[in-house]
Amino acid sequence: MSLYSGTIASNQTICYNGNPAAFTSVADASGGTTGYTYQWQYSTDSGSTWVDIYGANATTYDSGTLTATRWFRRRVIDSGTPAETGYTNTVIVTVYPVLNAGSIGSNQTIYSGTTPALLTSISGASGASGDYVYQWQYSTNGTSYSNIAGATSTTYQPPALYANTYYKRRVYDTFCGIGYADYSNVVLITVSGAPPATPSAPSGLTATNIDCATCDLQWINNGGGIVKNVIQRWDGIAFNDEEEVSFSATTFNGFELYPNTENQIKVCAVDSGDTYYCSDAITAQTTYIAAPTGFSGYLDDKNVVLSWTNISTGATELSVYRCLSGGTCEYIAYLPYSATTYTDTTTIREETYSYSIISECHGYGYGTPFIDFTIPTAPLVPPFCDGSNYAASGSTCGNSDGVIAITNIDYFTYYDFTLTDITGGTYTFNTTTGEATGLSSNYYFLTATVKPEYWYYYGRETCTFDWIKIEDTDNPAFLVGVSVKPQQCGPFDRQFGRIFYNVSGLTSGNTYSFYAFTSDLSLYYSKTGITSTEDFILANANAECYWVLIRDEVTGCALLLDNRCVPSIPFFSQGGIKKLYLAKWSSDLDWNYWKDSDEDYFLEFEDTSFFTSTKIKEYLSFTGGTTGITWYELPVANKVVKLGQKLEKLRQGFIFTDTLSVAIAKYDATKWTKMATLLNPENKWIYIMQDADGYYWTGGYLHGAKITAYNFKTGARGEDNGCTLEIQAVSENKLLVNIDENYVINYVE
Amino acid sequence: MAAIPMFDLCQAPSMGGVKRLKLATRDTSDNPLDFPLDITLKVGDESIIVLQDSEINRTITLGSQLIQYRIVYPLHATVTEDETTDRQGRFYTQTLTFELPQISLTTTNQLKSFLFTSSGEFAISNMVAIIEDMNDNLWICGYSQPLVLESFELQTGVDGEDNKYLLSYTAKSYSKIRQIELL
Repeated sequence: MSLYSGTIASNQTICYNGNPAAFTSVADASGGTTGYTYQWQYSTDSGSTWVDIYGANATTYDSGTLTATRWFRRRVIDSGTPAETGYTNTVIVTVYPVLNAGSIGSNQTIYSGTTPALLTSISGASGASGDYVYQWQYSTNGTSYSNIAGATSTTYQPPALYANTYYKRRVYDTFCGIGYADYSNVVLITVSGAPPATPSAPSGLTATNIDCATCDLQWINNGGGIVKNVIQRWDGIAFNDEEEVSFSATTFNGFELYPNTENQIKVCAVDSGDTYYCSDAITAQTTYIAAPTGFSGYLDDKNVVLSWTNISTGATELSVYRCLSGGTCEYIAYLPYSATTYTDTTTIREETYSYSIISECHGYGYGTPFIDFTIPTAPLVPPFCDGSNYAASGSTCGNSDGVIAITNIDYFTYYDFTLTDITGGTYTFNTTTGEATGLSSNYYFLTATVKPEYWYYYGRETCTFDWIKIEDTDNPAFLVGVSVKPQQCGPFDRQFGRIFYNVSGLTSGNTYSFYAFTSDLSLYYSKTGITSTEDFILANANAECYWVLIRDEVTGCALLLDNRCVPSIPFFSQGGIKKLYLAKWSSDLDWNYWKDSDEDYFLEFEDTSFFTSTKIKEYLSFTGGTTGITWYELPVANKVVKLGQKLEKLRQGFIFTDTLSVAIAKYDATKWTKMATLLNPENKWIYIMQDADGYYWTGGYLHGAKITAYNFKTGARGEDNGCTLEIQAVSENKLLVNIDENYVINYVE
Repeated sequence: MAAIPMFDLCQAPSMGGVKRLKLATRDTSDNPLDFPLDITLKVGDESIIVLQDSEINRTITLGSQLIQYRIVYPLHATVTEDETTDRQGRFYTQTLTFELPQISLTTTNQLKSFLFTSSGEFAISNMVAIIEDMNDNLWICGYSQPLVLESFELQTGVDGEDNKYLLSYTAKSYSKIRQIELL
């Protein structure tokens, strides 16, 4: 007998997550080869695919809870060889969708004792079998809820409330029962206190400080329940809302009024329902405002002088309104209301202007009719180049706030002006104000060029005012002194000149830049990053004039040191001697060499090899003073008197020997006596000589000069008559020594 | 066989005199020069010494030495070189003589700085001279044995003469004056 699989029962319907009843075996397997093996299987796709249920090998099976519909069957296998397999009928367990209670709305805030709005159903229940039972619940603490009797529809109208109350809606399905109930969201009705009092109209409305177009308002609020106050003004047809203020406000300042009008004003209290409770209307008459009368004017050269009469009592100010002939208009001045005249000095020649004077009050303006003026052509002015017709005003550190102004703007009619700085930067003049602004501390160059149409009057010549200084007025640095060393070119190569600028007031820690320009505007020398005043030096300077700019690299302050010149020692020579002086030498004779402190340009940090033994400052007598030495002046005969110094190489070393040749003309007895003094072998001499170039030289001071040769002759007919002398001095290792001319002038000559 | 011309036989134009002198006694560190100087001869022509010259800085680079000099436009300058043969052998005597017009304190100080040794003692500093003659030839004298101050004189003039310094230098050397060429 073939295998019979048996039958199972039964089909069921359950709620979501419900537990179906156990499946029963209506008939077990039979037939085939006895000894059966059972296996329960399930399907989720209507039996297309089957899955073995682990451990379900009995004739019956209890599946447990389900959340979706499933199909079940039982498989049987007999013990034959080969085994035979069979399946029972299929049973279906239908599972309802999960129950959803939906949502309700919404939270509210109410006054105590008032009834909230209806609690609505935003979305109804869904899922399960579809046969629902609603029940509204409330709570005063949000935790424990109670059913509300009779509240079983989808919406609910709460009663008047006096305390915060929570509401939610419970739903269950009749098939699944209350055990499967679901709950909506919770809404809260917040009770905020007692309801406001009944609103009423404000009272006591008054207007103060009434002027041409505004006033200040004050009133009293009456009753509660209002949300704002509104100020209304009558426009001739109706009262209109003009200003809105808070419900507690009792004043409003600057309420706008119609000028020259008796304004009517109300204040209205407005409740939450936008109901107006208005005060009685009051009136506010604005002060009078009107255009000035008697407006007239006249031309004062290029200036327009305007005058008028004020008739308003309520204007706050006057404005001067000007239009150009091209149509461009602007307010050029605002004047106090008491003003009755105005002079426009900003006009341009040959331009036509229209003027009106406007009485102003809070944006309202009443203007006079326009009157026109055409500015005449400029009168001829003195030539710009003949005088100082510009002015420069200083700048401040780090700022471009210096100004150069042409003092008479009529010059712009006849001249073109260019303004440049030392670095080539260019600047333009405002032809209305005559000013070139935005100038930082620097050197500037102003060039005036006559316009061709005025060549007939001013000529064609241009002129330049150069090295105009714009200086920082707040610069802490300042010049203490200048040391200038002259330049000499030749004969023994060049010796550069030098300028040292002794600057004080530098800011500690700042660095400085040093720029030196020459008269051709070229940069001769520059150095940056300077921290020491010793670097403000123009070494290796040619003989010319320099303009220096020292700039603080941190603050931008610039110090201008203009037009310091290095002189040149003239390089031309005239042969010969101009003057000759002798004085007796003694071992008491003393002298002071020229010291570094005597030299105008001596700088300790630069002149480390300063020679002090090539110049004598002064001779001192045995008494110690510069006086007390008797000097004799000798005649300087042409073609004879001369001084020479010669190097001699001796075994002792190198020495210089000075030889002075002197001639005395027309020898006679008087001169014989004086000559005897000179020739006295006990006398030694020092000499001072001025050469033809004007330099003073001296010798003999070390050991005294002696007469080494004497000659007198009458001379043959036509020859010289007189005597000649040779005076020799040993100068050891000293080249011919210079002597300060001040000593010679004061104590010798 | 015709004679071979040894020198220029066409008698090219020539002028006598010294146009310019460059005189040096110190290196750029102000130290006296150390003779003989280190020289570099021109490749292929040992009559010419090559050197670099920066007139704006008044320095020449001769071999490994950096030398500072002074430019002098002299009056009445002459340079001579004489050969002498005696019992000891043969040598050349080179003489440089020139004048500086105008006596002034600045020139005196310059000369003192130039002539005196760095210690300030009056020991004459040894000198090398570069001579530019009126034919624009450049010569160097005193590079082997230095030029030594032979005489120094200053004098005021009479009868239209100049006030001037007169200096004369002499060197005795086995080496002849050489031409120089600038690199």
